[in-house]
Amino acid sequence: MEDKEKTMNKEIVLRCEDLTKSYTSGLIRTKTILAAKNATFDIKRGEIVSLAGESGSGKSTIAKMILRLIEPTSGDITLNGRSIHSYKKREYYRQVQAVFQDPYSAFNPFYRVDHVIDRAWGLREDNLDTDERKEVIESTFMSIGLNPSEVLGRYPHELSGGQMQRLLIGRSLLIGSQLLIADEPTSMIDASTRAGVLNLLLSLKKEKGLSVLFITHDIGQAQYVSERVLIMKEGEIVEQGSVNNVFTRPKHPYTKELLAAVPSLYEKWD
Amino acid sequence: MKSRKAMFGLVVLIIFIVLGTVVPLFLGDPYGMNLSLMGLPPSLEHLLGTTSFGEDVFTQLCNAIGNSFLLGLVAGGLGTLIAILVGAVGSYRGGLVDRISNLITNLALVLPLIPLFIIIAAVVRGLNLFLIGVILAVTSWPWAARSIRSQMLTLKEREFVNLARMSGDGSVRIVVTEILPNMMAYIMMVFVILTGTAILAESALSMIGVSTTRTITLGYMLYWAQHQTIVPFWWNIWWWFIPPGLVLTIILTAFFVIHAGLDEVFNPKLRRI
Repeated sequence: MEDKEKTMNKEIVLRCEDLTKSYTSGLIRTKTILAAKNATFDIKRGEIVSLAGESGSGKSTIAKMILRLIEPTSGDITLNGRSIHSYKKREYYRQVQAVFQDPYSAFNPFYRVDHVIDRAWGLREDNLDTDERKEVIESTFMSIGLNPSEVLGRYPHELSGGQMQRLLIGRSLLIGSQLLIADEPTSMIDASTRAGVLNLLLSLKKEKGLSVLFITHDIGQAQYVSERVLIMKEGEIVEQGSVNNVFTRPKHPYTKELLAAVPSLYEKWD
Repeated sequence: MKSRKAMFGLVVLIIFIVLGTVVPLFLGDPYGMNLSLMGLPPSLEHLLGTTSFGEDVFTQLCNAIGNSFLLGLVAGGLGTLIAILVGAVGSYRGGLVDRISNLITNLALVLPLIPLFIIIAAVVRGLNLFLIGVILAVTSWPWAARSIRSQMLTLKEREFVNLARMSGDGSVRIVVTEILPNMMAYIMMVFVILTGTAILAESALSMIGVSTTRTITLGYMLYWAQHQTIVPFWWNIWWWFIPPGLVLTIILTAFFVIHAGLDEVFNPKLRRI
């Protein structure tokens, strides 16, 4: 079992090399803002990698570049050894999906939540009939702790944040993606449901070999879910390594600062 | 329909739409002159009297209402369509397309309507109602495109747009099925306002005599009433100019009441608790 895990861990799913994104602004486009600078990292199969850093440090920019929602200024992203631009969009999105920060804006208020599932279903290659389809959807939802009759056929505002995030995770499972970009999936939901979402990611990783890029500003969550962590500051990845190494022996002053800022349960600030 | 205001306006409009579309079928020729019936006051035979040419005012009024609505529909519908195209496409694509559509909007925004119309009326021969509708549409959309653009800029940043892109949807499909439905309420209000103002604009232009002189509209009636009742001032044919003026006022009020009602329904800040 351990051997299997080790060989699985060797396979790189996603690799980013020198990923840079710059924006120009000003009247004659003279000002340049670097949102991401030379980001290099990889994600292996069945691994959760955390990308931690403060707001505006470029975490979401990296996520959007991986998701092909924005174009990098320079650098390469490869999925399973192939440049992501060599994939057709539909083919790519069959493998890479995302869960976003704000579940309330991830669902179109105009439609019932089924709309999101219907659209995502179009990415699947099999042509299941209605009954089989219903069965697949129901069993997938049950496996992530969602009661299909409680969520399907409802409008987004009738669901809780936790339910919506689970629904989005369910969506990417239905598509059958192997890499999930989770952009601060827990920052807008209740603390009590937060652990449920984190544990769901962990169990999916274990059972389905799902790879996750877990973006967060919460060091505690990064430590809880991931094996490796990337610390990002002002568009640059300043430190990366296994969670144990980075959090017990931080090298970069910013990492030290971050760790010092984590509130502890038994300490009072004075 | 949640709003009593909008409901009230709608009922008034429907009454006039019936008056303008169905009733003329049972009436005679609106242009038919009978010089033996010149300037008769309202009676049972001629509900609203006759004009100084011996035309039946009620027949003319019903036809005018129908034509004015038709013009409003053409101008309002086309204007709304242009506003959506210019406002939504440019801002969704961003970059150069957005800059160009913004430039066009700004240029159209500063076009002076009435002088432009006088020039067009002087140059174009055979101006008909449809053409006037098109010209009104072409000049009426900029403010609506502006606000559609700003709504698009906020809506396109919503995550559900990203999610749709990640479901493999193309731009057109995303704009039409994901973004525009969320603007439906606003687009409906734009349509109502553009239709109402187009009817008013055409009437104003007709009344100063720069619109079509062949099709009866409310403005056309006012134009002739003004000519024929003021020049020989002892002819006080009040039943000629009061009905179209009153109808125009009521129709426009109905449009604006509908608009205010819709605004209350869709804008929670205006909703009374």
